Amino acid sequence: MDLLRAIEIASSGLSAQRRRMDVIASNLTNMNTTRTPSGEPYRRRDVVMRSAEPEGGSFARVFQGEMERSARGVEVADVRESRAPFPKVYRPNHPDADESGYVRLPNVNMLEELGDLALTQRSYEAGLQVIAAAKTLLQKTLDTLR
Amino acid sequence: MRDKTEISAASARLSRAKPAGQGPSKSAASKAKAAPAAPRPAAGTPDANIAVGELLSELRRALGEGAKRMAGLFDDAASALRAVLDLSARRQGVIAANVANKDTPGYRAKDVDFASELRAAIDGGADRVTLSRTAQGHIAPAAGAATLDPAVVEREGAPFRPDGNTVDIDREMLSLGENAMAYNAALQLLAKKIALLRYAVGDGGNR
Repeated sequence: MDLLRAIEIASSGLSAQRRRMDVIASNLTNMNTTRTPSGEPYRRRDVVMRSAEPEGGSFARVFQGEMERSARGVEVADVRESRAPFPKVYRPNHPDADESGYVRLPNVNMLEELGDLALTQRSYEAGLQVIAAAKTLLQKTLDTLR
Repeated sequence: MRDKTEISAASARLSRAKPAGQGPSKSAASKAKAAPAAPRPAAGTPDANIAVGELLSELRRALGEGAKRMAGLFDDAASALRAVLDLSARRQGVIAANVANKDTPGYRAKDVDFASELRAAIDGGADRVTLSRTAQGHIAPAAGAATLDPAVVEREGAPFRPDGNTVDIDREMLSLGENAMAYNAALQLLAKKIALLRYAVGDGGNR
C-alpha cells in the first residue's frame, strides 16, 4: 500500500526532526554551561541526517524496501559536537575563570539555534502535511467503495 | 471476462480428463471455489493427476489476474484511472521521501515522470519488466507486484545548496497538493463509474 508507505516515510522525517529539536533544546539550555564532565565548556551539538536503509524485519518488508529503493525515509545518523573554538570573556570573578581571569563559554550561538529551531519547525510541519494529505487520500479511497 | 473463459477452458480440460461417471462438471464459478479442496481423481490415472495440477495452476493464475484487474471489471477507462491512482500513490511516497530528507546532506530530490509512466501503464507497458511464471513450481507474484517501481528521476532545476541537497520545500509542497488533486480527480471519476454500475445493478431508478 503506497499511501501507507508515504505515511511511514513522512513519519521517519518527523522523528528525525524531533530528535533535532531535542538537540537544539540541549544547546539552548546549555548556553551558559561552563563545566561538563569532560572538564571543558559545553560544546554545541548538531544532528547529521541520512537517507534510511530499508529496515530489517519480515522478508516482505525488506523486499518491499529493495523494490522501492527510490523512496526512502530519513534517520539521524549521528549527533556531532562542534569543533568551533570557545569564545573567551574576561570575568575574573567567575568560578571557572583561568589565572588571567578569562572564562571559556560554550560555542553556542543563540541566534543560530533559534534559526535552526524555526527550520526544524517548518520541516516538521511539512512532514505533518504530507501525512495529512496521504491520510485524506486513503480515507477518500475507502469512502469510494462504501 | 477473459478470466472466466480461462477458468471454463481449464475446467473443460479437467472434465475431459476425468473418468466417466463422475457427474457433470459444475459451473465455472462454483468450480473456482471448490477447486482447492476438490478430491483427486482415482489414483493410477496419471493423465487425470496432471490435469488437476494444470487446472489448479490455471485457476490460481486466473484468480491472480482477476484480482489484479479489479478495476478492469468495468472498462478501459477504469483501468486507466486505476493506473493514475497507482502512480499518484507512488508519487506521494516519493514526495514524502523528499520532504523527509529535506535536511539530509547530499540528498537529490526525486520525482516520478507522471506523464510518460502513465502512458506506459495505459499502453500495457511493453517495455516494463514483469515477473512471470515459467514453471509450475514458481511462486505466483502477488497481484500488482508484477511490475517494478515506476522509474524515478531526479528533479531538474533544483536550487543549489552548499550541502549538496537539492530539495526545494516549497516545490515539494506544491507537488504534494498537485498530486493529491490528480488522485482525487481519478478517484471521483472512478466513484462515478462505480455509481453507474450500482445504478445498473440496482434495477435502474426503481429502487
